[in-house]
Amino acid sequence: MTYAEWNEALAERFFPAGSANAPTYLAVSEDVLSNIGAPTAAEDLSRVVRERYLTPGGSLSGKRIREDLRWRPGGSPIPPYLGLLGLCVLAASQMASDAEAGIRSSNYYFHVNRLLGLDAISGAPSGFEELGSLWKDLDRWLRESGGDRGESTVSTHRTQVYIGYPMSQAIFPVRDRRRLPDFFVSAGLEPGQKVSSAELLTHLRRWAGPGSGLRELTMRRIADPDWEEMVSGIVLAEFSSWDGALRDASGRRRAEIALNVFVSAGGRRCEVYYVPKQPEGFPDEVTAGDLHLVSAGGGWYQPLPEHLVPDALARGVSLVSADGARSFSFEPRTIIPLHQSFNAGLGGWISVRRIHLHDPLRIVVHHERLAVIQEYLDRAGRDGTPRSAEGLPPGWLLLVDALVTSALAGPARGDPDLERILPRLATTMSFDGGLALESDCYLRGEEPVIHLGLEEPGVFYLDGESQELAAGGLSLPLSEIKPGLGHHRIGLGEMARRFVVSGGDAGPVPEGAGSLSFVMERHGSKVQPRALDPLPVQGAPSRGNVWVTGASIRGSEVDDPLGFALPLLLRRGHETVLVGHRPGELMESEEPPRPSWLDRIGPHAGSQFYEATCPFPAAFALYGSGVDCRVEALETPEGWDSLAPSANPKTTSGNLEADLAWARAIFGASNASVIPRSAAGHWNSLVELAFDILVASGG
Amino acid sequence: MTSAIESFGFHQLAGWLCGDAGRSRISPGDRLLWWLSEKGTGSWAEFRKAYAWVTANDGDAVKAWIAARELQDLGHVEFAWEHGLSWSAAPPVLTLLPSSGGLAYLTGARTRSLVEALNENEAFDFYPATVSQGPQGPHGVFLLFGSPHEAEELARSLGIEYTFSIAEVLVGVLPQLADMMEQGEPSPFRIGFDKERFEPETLFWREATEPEGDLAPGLYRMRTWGRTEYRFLSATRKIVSCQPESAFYESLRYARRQILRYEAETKMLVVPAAARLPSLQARAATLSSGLLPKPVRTGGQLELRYENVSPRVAEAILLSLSQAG
Repeated sequence: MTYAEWNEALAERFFPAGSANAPTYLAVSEDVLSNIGAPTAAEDLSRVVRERYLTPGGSLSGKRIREDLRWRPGGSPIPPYLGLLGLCVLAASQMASDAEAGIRSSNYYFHVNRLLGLDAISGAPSGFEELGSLWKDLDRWLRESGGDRGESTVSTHRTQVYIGYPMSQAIFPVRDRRRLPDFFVSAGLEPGQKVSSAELLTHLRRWAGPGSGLRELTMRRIADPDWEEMVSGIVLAEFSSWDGALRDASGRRRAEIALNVFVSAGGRRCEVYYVPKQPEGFPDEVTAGDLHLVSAGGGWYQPLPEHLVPDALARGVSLVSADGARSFSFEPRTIIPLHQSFNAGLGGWISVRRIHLHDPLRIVVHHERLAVIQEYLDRAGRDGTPRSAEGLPPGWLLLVDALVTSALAGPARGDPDLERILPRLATTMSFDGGLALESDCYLRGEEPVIHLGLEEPGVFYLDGESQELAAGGLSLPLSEIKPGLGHHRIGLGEMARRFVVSGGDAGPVPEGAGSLSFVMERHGSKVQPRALDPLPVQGAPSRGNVWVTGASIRGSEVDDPLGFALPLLLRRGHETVLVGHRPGELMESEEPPRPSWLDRIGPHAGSQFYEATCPFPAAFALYGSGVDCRVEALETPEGWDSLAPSANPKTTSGNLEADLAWARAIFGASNASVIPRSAAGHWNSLVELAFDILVASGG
Repeated sequence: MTSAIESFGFHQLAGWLCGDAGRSRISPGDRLLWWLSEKGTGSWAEFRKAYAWVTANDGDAVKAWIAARELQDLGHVEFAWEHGLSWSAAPPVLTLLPSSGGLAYLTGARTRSLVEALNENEAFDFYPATVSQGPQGPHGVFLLFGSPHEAEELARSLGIEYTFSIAEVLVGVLPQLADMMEQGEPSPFRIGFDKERFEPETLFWREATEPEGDLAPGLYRMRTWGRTEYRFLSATRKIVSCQPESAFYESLRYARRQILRYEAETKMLVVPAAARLPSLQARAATLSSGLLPKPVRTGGQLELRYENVSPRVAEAILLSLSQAG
C-alpha cells in the first residue's frame, strides 16, 4: 500500500463519516493494522511513513510536516498526516504492552525509533516536537466535523507533552473501552448523569480490579497517578456519550442474563430462572442459537427454558443473536449476590454485579466458598444463614439474612467473586428508601436513610454543617435530622448530591388524578366494560362512555343515574312530626335503632341523627311538644321559592281530617322557636293558614 | 353543629400533614396515601418501594398487593394491573353514607392542601373524625353533618366532588359476570407448569394432573416465573386468560353454587375470603360504610363482612355475579 492508501484506510477505519458524536480514537495497534492490510502491515506502514517523512539525515522533515498542516485548501476531505500520527500511536501501543513501562519518554522513543528505522536508544527523533501541531490540527478537524467523524479524544500529558498525544489514543485499547459500559452500570451511573472526572476516577479505580474484564496493563494505568488525568478524561468522554448499552468483546450490543430467584419457606425452597435483559433497541423477539427470546415487557425477556441452559450457574450462558448484532451472557460465578427486585414483571430476587451497603441480601453461593464468604460477612456485616434450598442445583446454597454494613475491602481484594459482595465504592454514599415525589425530591418526614461507607476517615457534610467520620459504615436517617423544606446539598469526600424536601404542593385534586379509569360503554340501561382493568384516559368520556375512577363517575348519562331523593336527617331523642308546605302533609317519624356498624366509627357517630324518608316535600320538623317544642326547617329557605308553584299553601288536600291534623300540629307549635331564623317568615305563613283552617272548621 | 362526637384524631392527622405534629398515631397507610395523593401517578415498582418504606419490610410483593387492593376498594387509587402495572390517585370525593345519621366519607386523593383546607374550614358545620382501618391501612376520614346540603356545599367550596351514597351510584354501572368473562383472550395453558383447579364446592385449589382433554371446565391457575397465571376452561373447551375475581364466580355459576350471603336485618354482605369480589363490586360494598370488610373466621373459613350494604346495593352485586337466588 502507498502512504496515501494507508492514510485513507486509517481515516476510514478510525474517523468514518456518520460517527454520531461517539468518542473517537486513532487507536492504531498491530492487531488493527493487520485487519486493514497484510499480516506485515505494521512494517508496511513504517516503510511508507519513513519514505514520506524521514530525511536522509534521519530527522522528521519539518518542511513536510508544515506542508501537511496546509492541507485544507487542497480539497482533500481528510488530513494527510494520519499515517504518521498512526505510526506514533502504534509505538505507544507497543509501549503499553510492556508490563513494566511507566510513562517515561525513553520507553516511548525506544519503540518509535524502532518503527522509524532509527537507533532505538537515540532518544526523541529530531523534529518529533513538530508533531504537536499535527495533533492539534487533528483535534481541530474532528471538532470542525461537528461530531460527524466522532468526538475528539486528542489530549496530552501535563509534563510529557509530545508523547502524551499518541498515548492518549492508545491508553485504552478498544477491547477495554468496550468494558467501560459494564463499569458505568456497576457504579450505578445513569446515561446523562452529571458526574465529575474526579468522581468518575474514584469509581473506576474501585471497579478496575480482577473480574472487571480489563487487561492487567489497563488496570495498572488506571491505578497509576501519572496517567490519571488522561484516563479520567477518556472515561469521562466515553461516559458522556454512553447510551446505557453494554458491549461484548466483539463490539456487539450485549444484554446481561440475570439470575432471578423466588424464595419461599424462609429460604428452604426457591425457584430459579435465567432472565435476559431487554435493553432499549433490542427487538421484542430474538432468535439466539436454539432459543427464541420473547419480550416479557418492562425491559426483560421471558426466562430461558431451564432444560436449554443446564448447569448455567457453573458454566455460564453465552448467546449470540442470529443476525450477529446482539449477544446475551450470564457469567459463571461461585458467589452471586441477589437484590430484591421491585420490577413488576420480575419480582423475587435478582442477581446484581455489586451490592449497596445495607441492602437486604440473598446470596447464591457454591458450597466450597461458603466458609470464605461467611468469614468475610462476619467482619463486614452479618454472615447470614445458609440454606440447602430445594430448587438450587446440587452443590449450591442460598445464604439468607446476610447484610453488608461496612466497606471492608481488604479480604475481598483479588477475589473477583467475593468482590461482588463488596460495596461498589471505597467511599460510598447511597440513598435508601424515602417517599420520593420525583428523583431526589422527598416528602417532609419521609426523607431517605443515607448509608455512608468509608475505607478511610472522611468528611461528611449536610448544607453548611460538616462532620469528620471514622472509617467504616454509618447510616443516617435523614428524617431524624429534619433537614427542613427546600433544597439541600449533602456530601461525603468528593461525592456530592442534592435533594429537595417537599411538604406536598399538590392542590386538592392532584395532577394525574383520575388518569386511570374503568371504562364502560353504555348500551341502554346496560353497561359493558371495555376492559377488566382501569385504562389510561384523558379529557372527558365521549358520549355513551362512563369512566369510574375511585368514587368519581364521569359520563353525561350518569349525572343523576338513579334520581335519588336525599334523605332527611332528623334528630334522635324526640317525638318528631314532619309537616309539608301544603295542608294535609303530615307524618309522624319513627326513630330507628342506631345501626351497630357505626360503633366502628365511634360511640357518637349516628347518635344525634337518623335518616327518614317522607312521601311529601317536608318543610319543617316539629321536635317535642308544648313549651319544649322546637321547629326546624328541613330545607334552605332559598329552596322554597322553587317549590312554591307546586306547593301553594292555600291549596287544601281535600281531606278535611288530614288538613285539620296538619293545622293542629302547626298551630300547636306556633310559639316554638324556629331554626333557622330566616325560615320564620315561611313558618308564620303556615301558622296563619293553620289558624284559618282551624277557624273554618270551628275548631 | 353542636355535636358531642369526638374528633378521633383528625386534627392530629391534619397537624401531621401540615408538619405541625409528629406521626405517633399515623399509620403506614396514612403515609402511603399521602405520598400517592401528592405524587398523583406512578408505577407499581414505585408503589412497592414506598410500601416497603412505610411498613419497614423488605417489600413483600403479596402484602403490597393486598395494601393496593384495599386502597383501591376504598376508592383512593386505581391500579392498572394488566396495563403496565401503573397507578393513579382517584379524584377526592365526599360521599354521604346512607343510614349513617349524616356521616360522609372522604375518599380519593387526600393531599395536604385538602386536609388543611378541611381542618381550617369554619364556614360549614361539621365534625371530622378519623377511624382506624387496621394497623397498616390509612385512617378513614369521616365528616358528621347535620344536613346533607351542608356536605354538598362543603365539597363545592373545597373544589372536590360530592355524591350521596356512591355505593348506590356504583351499582348502576357494575359490569356483569358474562361481560367480564368476555374480556378474556384465548390463551392456552402454559406448557411445563403444574396446574391447579379451583374447586367451587370447597373453594380450595386442587392439583389438576389430568391430560388437558380430560380437564373439567372451570378456573385453573399455574405458577410460572414467580407469578400466577389464570385460565378459564369453558364448557365449550375454550381456554381464555382471566382475572381470578370474576372467574371464581363463573366457576360457581357453572357449579350452580351460591356463596354470597346478604343479611338484610343487619345490612351485612358476607363474602368468603377465598372468593374476593371483583374490583367494582368490592368498592361498592366497601364504600357503603367507608370501612374495609371485617374478617371473621367461622367454621374454618375466613369471611369478609361488608357493613351497611343496602338491599339494593347487595342485590345488584349478587345479580352481577350470578349469585342471586
